[in-house]
Amino acid sequence: MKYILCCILICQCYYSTAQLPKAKLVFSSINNVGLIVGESKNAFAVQSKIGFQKDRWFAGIGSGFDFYEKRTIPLFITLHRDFFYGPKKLFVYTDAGINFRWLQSTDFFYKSSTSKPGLYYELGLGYKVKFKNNSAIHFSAGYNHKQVKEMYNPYWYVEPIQPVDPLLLEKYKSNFRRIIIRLGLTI
Amino acid sequence: MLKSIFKPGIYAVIFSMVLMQSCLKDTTTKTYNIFSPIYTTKAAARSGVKNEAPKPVVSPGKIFVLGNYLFLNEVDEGIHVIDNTNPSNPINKYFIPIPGNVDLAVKGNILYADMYRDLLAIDISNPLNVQVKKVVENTFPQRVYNNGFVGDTSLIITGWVKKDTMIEYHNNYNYYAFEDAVLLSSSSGGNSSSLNAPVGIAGSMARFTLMNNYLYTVTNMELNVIDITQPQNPVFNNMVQVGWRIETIYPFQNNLFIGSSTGMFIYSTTDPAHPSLVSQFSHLTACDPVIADGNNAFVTLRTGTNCSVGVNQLEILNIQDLQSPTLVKTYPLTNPHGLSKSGNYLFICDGIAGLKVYDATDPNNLQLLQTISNINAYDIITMNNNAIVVATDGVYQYDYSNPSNLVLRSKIGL
Repeated sequence: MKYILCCILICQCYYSTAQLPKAKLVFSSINNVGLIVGESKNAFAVQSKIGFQKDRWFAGIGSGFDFYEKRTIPLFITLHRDFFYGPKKLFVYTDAGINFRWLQSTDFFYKSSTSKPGLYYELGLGYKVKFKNNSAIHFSAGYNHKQVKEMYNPYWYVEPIQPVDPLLLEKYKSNFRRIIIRLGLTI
Repeated sequence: MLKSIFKPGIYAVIFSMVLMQSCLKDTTTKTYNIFSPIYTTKAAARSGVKNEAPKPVVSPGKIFVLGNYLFLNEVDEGIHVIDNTNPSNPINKYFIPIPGNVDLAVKGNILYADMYRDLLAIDISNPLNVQVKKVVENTFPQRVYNNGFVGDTSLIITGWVKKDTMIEYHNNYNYYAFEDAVLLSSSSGGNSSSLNAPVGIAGSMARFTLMNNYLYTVTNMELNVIDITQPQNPVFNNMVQVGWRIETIYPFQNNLFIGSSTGMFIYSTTDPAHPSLVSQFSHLTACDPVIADGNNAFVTLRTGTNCSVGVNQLEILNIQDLQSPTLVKTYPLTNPHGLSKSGNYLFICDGIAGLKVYDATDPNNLQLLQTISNINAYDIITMNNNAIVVATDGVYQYDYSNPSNLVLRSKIGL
């Protein structure tokens, strides 16, 4: 499915370069809340993107909170493309970046924990309705992949002296492939 | 308006969810090492406790100083004996293999060391003929391996065979559950005092200490009293229940300062065979070595590893009234471990943040003089302007005649 979404995005970009009316570069932000539907559970996400909009393109950077299984903070670049002119339009979007683990106190219980940034990307399709002041409300659904890399030392018995033995480190690489349904505002 | 938004949106969502259902997948790959124990008989392990050729320091543990000699624990393997007559050029003299050893103390010519559950008294008067003089069995009954590898009455573990392993879990793997995998941690402890001439000095992370012809050791819950009136013939005398998660012991004057993960205990040794509780000071759950001088006790609290949820800080307590220690001030730190005091100067091993030197003339206003940040320090002994620092990669020695400008003299280890 993610490959289909990629193809749609690329084709649309190619198609759209033929005729573009002159438009101004406008600063814009996209803010949304999301429901993450995964294999094992559902969770909540919030996200904010800032960037510039010109004609039917929007490009920028974004971040947010992702509470699916492992609490994380993604940081990514984003690209949106509207399909049609007019107040109601379909759009495709993609986000790509890295994902930082936001460790919770429970992550340290009995085990020391560290993390490294993992891959983060999302491809999706949405529908938005523009208002007169150029803001819009939008609704989208997309495929999202987040990767979490963590290292734990499994000591749990009282041992005050010994440093962490790298031989004992357990390394975990988790890949979460989810659907995200988002509702938000473009300002 | 809303209808115009949500109608196509709902179609899109239903379409997406149906189409993408097969894409939803959570996987976790776990990479770790499996260790299988190598057993030997206790008798064979004891007979192997003798002087061997010097070995490189790989995994330094606790340290003990007596005269010109450093006794450095190689975690779970034995003790390096190092001639430190010239701190700028320490000479690794020989190695005593002691499986499961993590703690040590030396009085005169007798080295006391744990071998898993047992306490050994080892005669080191002749470096060419080191001999086990006595074994006090089951002194440390709680000394166990994680993962269920517990030495029984006849076998002990002398090594491990390592095997790299990778497992992929479908769905999200629960990191926090205890596993049937392979953990190689062990527990025990070490420290000492300097009251009598032939008694050495240990770091603040120690679980052994020597005082008044007694060897005091702490286990997870107890204070053991071992009579060493005859140094070659230690006799288990008494056991005092202290609390839970006891970690370190530090002697000062006629008192024992015991650090636990929940607080500091002060025991009086007025009757050395029967230490009695004087007072205790509770703190948040954290690992906490403690040292003391005439007026104050210095407690470092840290998180991480097995110290549960806690804080990283130095607590200074007023102990002029031993019956009622009071908190003077706390100072935030990164991940403090062992500490030492020399005159008005306080040295703190702050884990990955390195070694920190403070002017502690005024406990209410510690002045940071220097940070040596390129080492991962966890214990320290200071004496004669020489700071002996145990770090994860070896033992460093610094000249601190100018506490604002420590000068590296030597490094033993990796």
